[in-house]
Amino acid sequence: MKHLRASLLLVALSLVVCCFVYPLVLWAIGQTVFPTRANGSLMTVTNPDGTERVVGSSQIAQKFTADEYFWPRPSAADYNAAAAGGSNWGANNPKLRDRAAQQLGPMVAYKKGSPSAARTPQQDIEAWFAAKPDRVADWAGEYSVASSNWARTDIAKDKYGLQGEYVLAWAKDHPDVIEDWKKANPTKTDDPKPEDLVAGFFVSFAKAHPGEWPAVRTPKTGNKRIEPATVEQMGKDEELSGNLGAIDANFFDMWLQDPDNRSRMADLEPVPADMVTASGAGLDPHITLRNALSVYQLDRVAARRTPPGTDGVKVRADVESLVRKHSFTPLSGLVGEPLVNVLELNVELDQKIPVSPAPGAP
Amino acid sequence: MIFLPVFIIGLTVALSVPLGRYMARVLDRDGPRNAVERWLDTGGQTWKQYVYAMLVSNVVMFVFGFVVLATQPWHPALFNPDNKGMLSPTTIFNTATSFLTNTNLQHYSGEVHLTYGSQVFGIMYKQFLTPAVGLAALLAVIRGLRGDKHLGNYNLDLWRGLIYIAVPLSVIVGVILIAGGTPMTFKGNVEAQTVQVGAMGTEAVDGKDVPKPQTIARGPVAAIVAIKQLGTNGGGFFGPNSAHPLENPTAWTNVIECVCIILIPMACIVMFGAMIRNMRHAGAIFGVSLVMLAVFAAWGVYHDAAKPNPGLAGGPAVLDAKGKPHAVTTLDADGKPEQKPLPDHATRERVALPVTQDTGNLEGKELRFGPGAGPTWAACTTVTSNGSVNCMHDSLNPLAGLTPLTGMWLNCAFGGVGVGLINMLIYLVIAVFLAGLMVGRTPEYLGKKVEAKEMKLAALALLAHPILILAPVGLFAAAGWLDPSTNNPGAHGFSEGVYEFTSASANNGSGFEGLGDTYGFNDKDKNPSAPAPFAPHWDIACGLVMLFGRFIPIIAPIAFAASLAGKKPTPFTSGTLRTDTVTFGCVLLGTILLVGALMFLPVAALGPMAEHFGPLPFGR
Repeated sequence: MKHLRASLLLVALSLVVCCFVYPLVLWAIGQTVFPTRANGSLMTVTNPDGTERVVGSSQIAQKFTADEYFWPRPSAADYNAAAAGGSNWGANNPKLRDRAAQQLGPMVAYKKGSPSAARTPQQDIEAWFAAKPDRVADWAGEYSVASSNWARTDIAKDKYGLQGEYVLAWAKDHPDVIEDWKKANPTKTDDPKPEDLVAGFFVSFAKAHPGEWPAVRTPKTGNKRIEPATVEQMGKDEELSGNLGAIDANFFDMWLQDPDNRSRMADLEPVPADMVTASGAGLDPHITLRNALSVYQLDRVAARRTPPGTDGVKVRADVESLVRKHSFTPLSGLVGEPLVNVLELNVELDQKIPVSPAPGAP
Repeated sequence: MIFLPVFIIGLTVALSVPLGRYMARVLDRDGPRNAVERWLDTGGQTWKQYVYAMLVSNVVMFVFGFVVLATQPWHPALFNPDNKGMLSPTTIFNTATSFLTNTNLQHYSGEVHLTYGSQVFGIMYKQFLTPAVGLAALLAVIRGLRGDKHLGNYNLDLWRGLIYIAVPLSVIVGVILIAGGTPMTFKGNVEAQTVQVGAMGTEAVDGKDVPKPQTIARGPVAAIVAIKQLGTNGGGFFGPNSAHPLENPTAWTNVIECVCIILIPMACIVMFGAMIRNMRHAGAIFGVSLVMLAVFAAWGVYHDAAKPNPGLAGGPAVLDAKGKPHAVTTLDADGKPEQKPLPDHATRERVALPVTQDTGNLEGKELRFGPGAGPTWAACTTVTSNGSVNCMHDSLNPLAGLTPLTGMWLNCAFGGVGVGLINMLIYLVIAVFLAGLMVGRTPEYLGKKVEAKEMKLAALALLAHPILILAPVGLFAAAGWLDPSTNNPGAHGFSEGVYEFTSASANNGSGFEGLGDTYGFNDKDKNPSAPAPFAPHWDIACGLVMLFGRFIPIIAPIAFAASLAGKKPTPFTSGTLRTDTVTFGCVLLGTILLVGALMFLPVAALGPMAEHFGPLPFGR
C-alpha cells in the first residue's frame, strides 16, 4: 500500500512539475521578456488604412519566383511552414542531379567575355536539341527518372496531368508501344502507367515527329493542349514559347555530357551551391552573400528595378549596398561565410527601391 | 570548419566536470532529505525490487502516453488550436513506445499530426521521465559495482534526477532558446500574406481566386526543444527537428543545443568516477569515449563539409583494365542470362554541373549553422542516443553517412543519459575478460571476480543489439517491404532500412528520413501526403525493437552488478589488471572496434561503402 501510494504520488508530482510548472515558467518569461520571438518572429507591414498585416516570419523562408525579388534556396516542402521537410535525396539519387540540372538549364549563363559569350547557353542547348532528330528518344532512355517525372507532371490523386494523358492517348493510337513494354516486362500484369510507357513513347514520337517536342500550347482562352513542335516553331509562336524553358531544363545535363560540347564547359559561370541545393527543413531563410551578389541574382533584380530609360548603374549599386547592409556572418562572425536573410531583404527592397511601373501603366 | 566541432566538444567537456560532481553529490544521497522525499521513499531495494519498480512505472507511463495520443480529437481547444484529428492505431503504438524507450523515433511529423496537448503531455512528459529512468538504472548499477548493501530507492532516484538535474537545466536552456528566436506560445498557426502576391499559388474562396497565404506552424517549441536536447531524447516539435529554423534559429542556439546533447552523458562518467572514488578509471572511459566522438566527427566533417556532393560533381570514366566498358549480365526475354556492355553514356567521364561546392555538400543543410555543423551534430547525436538532427542525414555524402551509423552501431561512447555508460560497462567487462584471458588470470573488475554468470549477462546485453538490427532488416528485405519504402535507389535505399532498425535498437531516434514509415492521421484523406505503403509494418516492427533494445540492456547489467555486489573483494596485487591506465584505454578501444567490426562491417559494406563506389547517380 505504501508502495502504491508512493508510486502514484511520483506520477502526480512529476506531471505537475514537468507539464504545468515548467512550460508555464518558460511561457511567462517568453511572453513578457521576448514577446516577438516567443510568438514566431512575425514580420508585419502597415496597410494603407493603418491596420497591420503579417507578411511572414523573419526566421522562415518565403517563396519568391518573380524576377524583381531575390530568390531563396529551393525547398523540398515548397515553402510550406506547416509541413516542413527536406528532400532526403542521397547523392546516388538521379532525382537530386536532375533537380539541380533542371534549375540550372534555363538560368545558366556564360562568363562575361568568354569565347562562348556571343550566344547564350540556352540558344546552344536549343540548337543542339534541333540538330538530332531523335534526341527525345535518347533522353528518355538515358534520363529515365527525369522522363518518368515528365509523364507524372501535375499528377493529383492518381489523376494524370496533360502530359501523362497524352502518353496514354498516344499508346492507344500506337499499340506497338504497349506491346514492346509487355515484351520487356513479361512478369507484370497491371496495365502500364504513363511513366512505364514514357521511354517507348518518346521512341515512337521521335519517329513520327523527328526533331520535335510534345509542347504544351497555352492559348489565351480555352484549354491547354499538347502538340508536337520544333524549337523554331516555339520561338515564333507565343502560345508555345513557354516550352523553350522545358527544353533548356530537361536537356541541360545531357547537353553538358555530350563530348561535342566539351569546349563550352569552362565558359559557364558557376552557380553557388546554396542556389541549387534544398535545405534540411525547406525553410532556410538565408542565402549566401555571394549567391545574392552573383550575376544570377543581383543582375536580374537590379535590371527589373531599373526605371525604363535609365542605364541602371545606380540602381545596381543601390541594390548591392542594400544586400551588403543585410549581410552577417554566423556565430558572431566566427564560422562560415556571410549570409543574407531573403525575406527581410526583399521587404526592404520593396520599400527603398520599388519596381518602376511598366510604361503605360497608371 | 574545424573550429566548430572543437569549440562545441571542448565547451561540453569543460561544463561536464562540474556538472558530474554536482550530480554525484545530489543523486547519491542515502535516504530521504525532505518532506517530499519522505513521502516518495519506500526504502532500500534489492535488484529485483528495483527493476520491478522501474517496470511498473514504465507501464504506467506507456498507458498514460497512449491515452493522451489516442484522445487527440477531444483535447481542449487551448491544447488543440488547429483541430487535429485521430492518429492511426499503429502510429499511436509506435509513438507511445518510442518516447517510453527514450528513442524518439518519429513516424509522424510534429507540426502536422500532433496537438499541443499531445506534444506537452504525450511527448514532453516522457522526455523528462525516460532520461531520469536511465539515470536511475545507472545509479543502481554503480551502487552494485561499488558493493552497496542495496541498490537505492527507485522513486527517490527518479525524483532527484528530475528536480535537481533535468528541470533546472531545461529552464536555463529554454530561456536561451527563446532569446534566440524559438517560439513559446500556445497560439495556433498563423497565416502570412506573401510579399510576392500569389507566390504560393491561388485558391478559390467564394468563387474568386485569391492568393494562398503561407501558413506558419508554431507552438510551445522552446519547452520541448530544451528537454529533448538535454535528455538524449531527440524527438522534435517539428518534423525536420533542429534543422527547422524555429527549433534552432541561429548559429548560437545550434552550439547550445549541440552542447546539450552530450553534456549529461559526459557528466554521467564524471559522476561514476566520483561515486566509485576512482577518477582515473572514469578518466580512462571518458578518454576512450572522447577519442571515438572526435574520430566520428572528424570523419563526418571531412567527407561531408570538405568534399562536394558527388551527385552534382563530375567523375572519371568507368572502364575495365583494357579501357572497355564493363559488361553487365541481365535476363533476356526468355529469362536466360545475357551479357551486354554498359551503354556509352553510363561509362564515359561524367562532367560536373557548373556549381561551386567549396563549402561541401549543402543538400539538406542549413546555412546559418556554418559549414561542418551538420556532420558534427550527426556525430554527437548518434554516439549519445539523442537522435535529434540539424541536417538531413539521408542527404549526407555516402561515406559521411557512416558517422551516424557507426555511432549507433557501437552505441557506447558517452551514450544516452545513464544507459550509455551502462553500454560502455558491458564493453568494459568484455575487455577485462579478454585481457584476463591473455595474461591467464581470472578477470576482475573493481576488485570483484568476473565469472561465467556475469559474462553470460554481459554477452546477452551485447548481442541483443546486432540481432535486433540485422534480423528485422533481413526480414524486411526478404519480404519485399523494404524496397517500396525507400526514396533512394540502390545501396542507399538499403542503408535507409538499416538505419531505421539501428536507430530503433540503439534507442536513438534519428533517421534516414526518406524512408516511408509515416501513416499519420487515421483518416487517409486528412494527411498532406498519402500514407506510406508499409507504414504499419515499420510502426510495429520498430516498436518491438525499441522495447527490447531499451529493457534488455538495462535489466541485464543491473542483474550483473547485483551479482558482483554479492562477491567478496579480492585484494589488489601487482598481478591485478589495472583499469585506470592508458594501456587499458587502448585495450578497451580495441575491444569496441573489434567487436563492432565483427558485428557490423558486412552491412556497412553493403550500404554506405557500396554507395560510395557504386554508380553516381544510380542507374544512369
